[in-house]
Amino acid sequence: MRSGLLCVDSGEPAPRVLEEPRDRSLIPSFDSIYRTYAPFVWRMACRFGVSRDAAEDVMQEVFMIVHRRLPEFEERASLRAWLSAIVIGVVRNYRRTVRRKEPMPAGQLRALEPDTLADGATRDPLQAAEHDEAVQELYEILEAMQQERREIFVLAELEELSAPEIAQALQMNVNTVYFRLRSARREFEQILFRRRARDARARGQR
Amino acid sequence: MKGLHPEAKALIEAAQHGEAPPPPETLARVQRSVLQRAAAIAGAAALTGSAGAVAKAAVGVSLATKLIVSGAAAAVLSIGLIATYPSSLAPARQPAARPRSALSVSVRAGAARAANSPEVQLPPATAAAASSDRLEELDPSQASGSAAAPLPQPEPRVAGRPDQRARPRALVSERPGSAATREATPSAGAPPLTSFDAPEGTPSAGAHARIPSETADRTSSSASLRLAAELSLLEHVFTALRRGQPEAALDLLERNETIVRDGSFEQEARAAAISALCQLGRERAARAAFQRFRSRWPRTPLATRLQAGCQALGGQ
Repeated sequence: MRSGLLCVDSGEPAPRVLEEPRDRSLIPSFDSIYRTYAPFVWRMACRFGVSRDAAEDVMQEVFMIVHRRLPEFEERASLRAWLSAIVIGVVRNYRRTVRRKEPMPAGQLRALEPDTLADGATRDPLQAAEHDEAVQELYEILEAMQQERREIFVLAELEELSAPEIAQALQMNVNTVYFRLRSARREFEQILFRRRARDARARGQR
Repeated sequence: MKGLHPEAKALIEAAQHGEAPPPPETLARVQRSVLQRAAAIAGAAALTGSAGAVAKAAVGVSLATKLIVSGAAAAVLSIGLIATYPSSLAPARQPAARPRSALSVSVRAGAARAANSPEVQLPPATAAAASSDRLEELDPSQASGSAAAPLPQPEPRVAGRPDQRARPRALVSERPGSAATREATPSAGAPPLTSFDAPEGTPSAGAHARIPSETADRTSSSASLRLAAELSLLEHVFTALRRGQPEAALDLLERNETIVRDGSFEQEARAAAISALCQLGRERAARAAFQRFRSRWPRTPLATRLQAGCQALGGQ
């Protein structure tokens, strides 16, 4: 079956690439995408600063878009990058809405719910506590970052997407991705070190 | 993470161990919601082509609301009842027992634009009761005909007949002795709910409706089956309207009056019938049906929407 976009009826022989019918069997089904990538979407929404309750709504919106636009998906493209682009768009909308409805002071936008953390009962308590603290700290740092840098940082450092995939997801040049990623890393480290210095001072005062 | 400071790397690695995945019930709930919304939108889109965009959107919203509010549709979808896609896109013959390991909604490339009909399979995680469900399919050998093909006269439905493939409109391909056959005759006096009649050449012919035949609770199963039959019928009616086959849509509704009458979606079905009458140019019948519709549901927004979409009703 030929894609409507690829069908060119110009009366002249089409370029070879247009003659090749798209093999729709290469496009994964909604079912398999959902099963494979629902946790990915959920995790990414949380990392972008969406609360657990809202993450469910965000996930629903994301998969509605996936459901609607799956036929347009190019099988050569990266599915993770495609999904990331959708998640980023939905989260941006969500954050805009939240800001408009209930503006909160910076730093309080995201209160980490206990059940956002992995089940502590199944882990070593000490290690679980460390991991939970790490999650809390990571989310707070991400929240404090500038939006574009946060997005690129999450995609690169947490989701481990390649630069071309990030470029596809964020609709930007690969060189721009590298440039912004450097800035994002710098910002992340600066926030982290500031927090560590503040904690050290607080411990010294006690 | 090559360019990151070791302390930042350590934090990220620790955090990655601490993040919880989404709970399975959340995953199942979101999946159901997506499918319900997609079905409602498909329904709205179907009516859009027949009696005007506004009317159809209202039906879609109404459908969605009912689906959500009643919660029954959630149960229906969770046991994987509805599955339709256009006959033109249906494979020559689907395997009788499809893998039921997951809920799948696959929108084919062209189908999404042409019909937007999702295919729904049974999710194991969505309902425990679904694990024993058996699925039956409408016979794909019925897939034939174009919009212009004359519709055959109605025939009484016979479910579970082994010779059904030889008959032109035996829609339920049931294996003799199958659980579906047993379940297809639920209770005395109750109409068979596992299928509905559809003429050849309509979108329902060749489509696939998967219908559970065994559930733990027969009472809730019966309600679910009825709802499933209603939804499946509406899905086919919408598809027919969307394809510009109002006569097929009308025929479907008339044949399956027992399913429509007093059903959860009767209002939507009646609206679709009026819409089909309008499309066919049967103005007098449309007006009469609309009058009955409005006297029965005086406050429904569908009435206004139907009027807006159908000139014949404009004077009402």
